[in-house]
Amino acid sequence: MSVAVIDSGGANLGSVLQALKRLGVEPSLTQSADVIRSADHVILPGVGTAHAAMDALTRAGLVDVIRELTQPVLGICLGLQLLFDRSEEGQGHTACLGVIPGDVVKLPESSTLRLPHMGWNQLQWIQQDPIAPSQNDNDWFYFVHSYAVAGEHPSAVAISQHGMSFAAVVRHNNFVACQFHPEKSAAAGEGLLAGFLSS
Amino acid sequence: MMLIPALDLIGGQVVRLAQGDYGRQTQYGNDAIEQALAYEQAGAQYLHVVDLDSAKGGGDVNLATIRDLCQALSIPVQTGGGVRSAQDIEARLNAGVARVVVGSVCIQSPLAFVEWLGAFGVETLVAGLDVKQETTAEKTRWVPRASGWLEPGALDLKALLDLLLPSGLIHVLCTDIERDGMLGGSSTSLYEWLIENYPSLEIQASGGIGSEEDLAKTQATGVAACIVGRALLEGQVPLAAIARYPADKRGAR
Repeated sequence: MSVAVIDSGGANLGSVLQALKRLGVEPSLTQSADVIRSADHVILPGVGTAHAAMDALTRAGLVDVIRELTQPVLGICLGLQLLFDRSEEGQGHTACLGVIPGDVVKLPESSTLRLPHMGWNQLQWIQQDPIAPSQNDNDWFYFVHSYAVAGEHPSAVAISQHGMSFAAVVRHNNFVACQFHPEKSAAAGEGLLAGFLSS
Repeated sequence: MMLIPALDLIGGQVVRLAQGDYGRQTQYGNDAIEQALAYEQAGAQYLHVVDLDSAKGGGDVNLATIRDLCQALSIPVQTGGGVRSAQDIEARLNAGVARVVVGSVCIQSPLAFVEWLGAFGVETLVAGLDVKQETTAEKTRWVPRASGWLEPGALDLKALLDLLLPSGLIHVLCTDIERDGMLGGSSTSLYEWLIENYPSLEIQASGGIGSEEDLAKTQATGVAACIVGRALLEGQVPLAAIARYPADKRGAR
């Protein structure tokens, strides 16, 4: 099985690659349109800002390539946000890939609700999805983010809370994405990665 | 309260000091990665790694081991020891560390730490305050110590926290030096005092856990996390206890 991990410019993609290796696949970290198009599974991780990542994908000529993928695609963290039309992050806003209609908004912030939302949280599964054959609301997942998609969005498969209900897992056709880091979410996260790879 | 297993490293090896004394160290001979994976498999949600070589003299003696740990684990890693500059923080973050504990600089140059809180974000940095109780005829106070616990700081714990709090400080790892590595129970009065006076802080308790009963007593103080080193390595706290102490629920309305 070939798995392409799209190199969207950020550092620290090592943990995604390592998590895949633990599952017995040898991923290619790549900006090559051919490698991405021909992969069985594609992962769009994201580190840094929406603007910087979109800039990197645009310069690599990958915007249309990603939009037109038909195999299973998994977005992780910023990778989830990039799949939507726009993100509130950046000056004015950042135009994203537009695979899923809708916007990414900034999470609420207060003295008790800090940003980034960083730490472990549980999910509430609201739709069946092949990425998680066993949907356990007691499992914990590790989040690091300041922006998110509202939990009411029709693509939401699982939601979590940080001052508002937000989408923790979304599904749109062959595109699935999680706002948390499955590669840093211990056994539960590994289970989701395995679920994606077998989808 | 989240139980955070700790690994102390000297020359890439897992060790434990008694009361911070480099002359009283126990080498466990465990491979750091194997030990960390055992903690992860037991349900740990965070790993705390201390670079003891660098804690004394600065630098990043165990950075390669820490990078290997971050790569091997599928849980986030927090690390302390040897953080003297913004470059030291960057080096650890680039190695894959999620959270960096700043000890001596925080105690000796709190204004530098304030600047780093702004630059790296309040969720990324932990004030690592190792304190020793000082009792005089008038009062009892906690005094942080720097440089491998060898030098007392100019400000006591209260003055230091009052200085750091307006900059958004959230994470404080507070260790009672006299209890660390002694398995005699944690410093519950210290943590009760912290929770009562600084309810907005996420306190990580550390030092002295020697039994599951000590864990329960520490949890009752209201701390967000408890770091356990020696007791997990020697078995006074079984690995199975880790899963019984997950993260507190956050962000729920």
